[in-house]
Amino acid sequence: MAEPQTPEQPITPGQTKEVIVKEVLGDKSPAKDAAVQKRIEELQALEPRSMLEHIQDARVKAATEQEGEKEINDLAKRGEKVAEEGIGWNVDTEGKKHLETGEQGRLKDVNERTKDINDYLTTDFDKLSSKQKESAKGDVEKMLRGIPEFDNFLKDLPEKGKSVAISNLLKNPEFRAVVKGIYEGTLNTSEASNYAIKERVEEANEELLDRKKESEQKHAEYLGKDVKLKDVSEQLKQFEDNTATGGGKGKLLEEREGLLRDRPQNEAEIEKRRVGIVDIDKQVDDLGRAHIASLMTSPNVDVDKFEAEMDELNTKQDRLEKEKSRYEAKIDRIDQLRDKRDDLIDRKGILTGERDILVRDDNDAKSDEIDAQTALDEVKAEKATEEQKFVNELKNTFRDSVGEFVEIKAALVEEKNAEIVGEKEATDEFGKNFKNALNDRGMKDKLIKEGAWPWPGRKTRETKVPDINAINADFSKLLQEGPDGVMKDILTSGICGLTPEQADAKMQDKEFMDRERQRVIDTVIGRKFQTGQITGAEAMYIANSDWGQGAIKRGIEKSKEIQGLFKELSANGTIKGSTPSEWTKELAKSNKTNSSILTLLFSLMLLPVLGVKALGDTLKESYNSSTAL
Amino acid sequence: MQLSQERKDEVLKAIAELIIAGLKDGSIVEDDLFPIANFVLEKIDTLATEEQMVVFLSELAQKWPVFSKIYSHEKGKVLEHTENLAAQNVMDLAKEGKIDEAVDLAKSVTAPEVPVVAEVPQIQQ
Repeated sequence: MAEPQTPEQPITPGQTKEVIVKEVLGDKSPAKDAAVQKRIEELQALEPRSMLEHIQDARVKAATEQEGEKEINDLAKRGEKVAEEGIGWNVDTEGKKHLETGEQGRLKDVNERTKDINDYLTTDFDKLSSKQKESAKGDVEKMLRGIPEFDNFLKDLPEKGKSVAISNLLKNPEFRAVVKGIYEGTLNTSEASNYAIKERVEEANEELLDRKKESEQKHAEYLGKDVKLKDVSEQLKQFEDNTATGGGKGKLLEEREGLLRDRPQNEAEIEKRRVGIVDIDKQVDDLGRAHIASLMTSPNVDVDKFEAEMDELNTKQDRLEKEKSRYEAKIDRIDQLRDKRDDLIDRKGILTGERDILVRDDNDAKSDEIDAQTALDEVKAEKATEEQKFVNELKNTFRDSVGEFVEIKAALVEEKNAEIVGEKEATDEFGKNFKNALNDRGMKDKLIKEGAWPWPGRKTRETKVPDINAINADFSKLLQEGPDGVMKDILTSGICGLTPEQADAKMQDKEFMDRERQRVIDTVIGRKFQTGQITGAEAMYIANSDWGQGAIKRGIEKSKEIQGLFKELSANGTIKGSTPSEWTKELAKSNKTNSSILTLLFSLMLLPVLGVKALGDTLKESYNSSTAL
Repeated sequence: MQLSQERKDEVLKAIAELIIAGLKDGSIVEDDLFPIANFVLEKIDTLATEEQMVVFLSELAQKWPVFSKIYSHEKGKVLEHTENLAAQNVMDLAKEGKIDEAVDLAKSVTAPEVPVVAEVPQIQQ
């Protein structure tokens, strides 16, 4: 609804000041607000319904963009969180994380890559740092260089053009969306794996700490017991007689033997002292009685003399007692030494038993500690692997995004192309005729009798069945003249019914030929497959023809599964090469393995009803059985 | 009364013009645009009769008074048409001798308040 434009009119002198004010300060009317004015112009340019739809869409789009922006910001924050939490596991009670050397390196890598990707997703590409831009461009180019078509494209570009082309790809919102998806996937994987392993590492670490503590305790107990045992053993050495082995005798053994040797003499000495003591007892008694008697007879008894004599006797007796005790002690010492040795032997036996138990416990605890350490090391290694995987996936984000983006675009192109071809075929009458003629190729009509007892064959119906002779004829023609020979046959017969000259003219139609040639190859070889067999020699013949190589290459490119299988066969050395073109060339080399692979590859190309995956498996099985033979 | 596509387009054009005028004079602001567009687009394609159109415009004018002008205009047109039709019917009924019915019909179509078309009596076609 465009408003008619009125031609600009000159202003009158009376309007001049007003216009100047408006130019400087703007219009007071809300509509003069620049944004509103712009909006009015934008809406006026549209038809009424489109205008309303535009208003509606703009709001929805703005909301979606806002939502998208929020989502990306949330993802960036989540990336930082996953990076922070995904690396390392050892957090102390104050929440401080302790990283080992490898973990420090990985955390640095993860933080750098996360920042690069977050910046890429949340900032305009042009606003990234030069380093970030060059890094992203380098990753993208590396991946593109690995795809021959892109490599050729880039080779043809001047350096600046190449840089612009790659930058444009990185600026493409669709590519950015793919990067976002890949990044999100990486974060999801890391969260799912790293976090689960982190818990296991923490558990293993706790287990190790417990085992270490127990091991230290057991070892301390063992050492304590061992010290006691050594002490007892050391004491026992004093009772040992090593003279037979050239050694000496223990000090206490010598002492006891000496005491035993001296025992009779010592006993005699004791007896002597005992007699002496008894004698002194008697002298004391006598002296006492004499003193009492003196006291009764004479009042002037010399008490001092009596006491002095008594003291002398007592002193003598004390000395004898002491001497007797000393000799008795020597006698007692014999038994004491024996008892001590017996006691030491007993204690040594007990201590040895106890120490042996503690040695076993100590060893068990040590073994448990080693097991716990091994378990921790294993789960730490597992975590390190997962962390490194996380790092690698982050590092490969742009590379993987290029791969996925190329696949998405390729699928869209193929889809579009299929649509165009389908549309073209649907409107191309001659094309339809050719297709019908090709479908009937190698088939013949047959009358089928139907009906059961009691009137079998009372009804009939016509159907198409394979005509082996016609199939073989077409197949021979294909091998001898290539697909164009068969095509000319179809064009000049049946429903197409062209003259040879008309057929030659039609065969100059490149688009028609490119489309139908492949279909002819597939159909003729397909019929042959359905009704008979293709020999190894025939397969090799096809693989060595120009048209056959094209068909084989296309067959390999037809599905990821088959390409995956060829990669596997390359990896295990069965076939050389790494691209469909190289594999196609390799398959042209005559040998039994190639013949098997070719035969089954044809079945993939020609019997799509079986399903790509099923055929891939069949191919694998067939190869395995052929190599087993 | 059936509503043609041309009539819908005509009303849409008038609504669009009022939106532009409203933006210019400030009676409509940017925040009003989405709810107006949403309301109009949601309803306009479901309208089958002129009477429903008037109901729709009545609601629109109630929500955003800037559209009162178009409501009044369209209501007037519909009422005029209805009245013409009713007058014809009144006359037809009278001619058939159904005087009471003709009077009732005449009363209903000449009632002072006909706020919404849903209240307009059904006319025997």
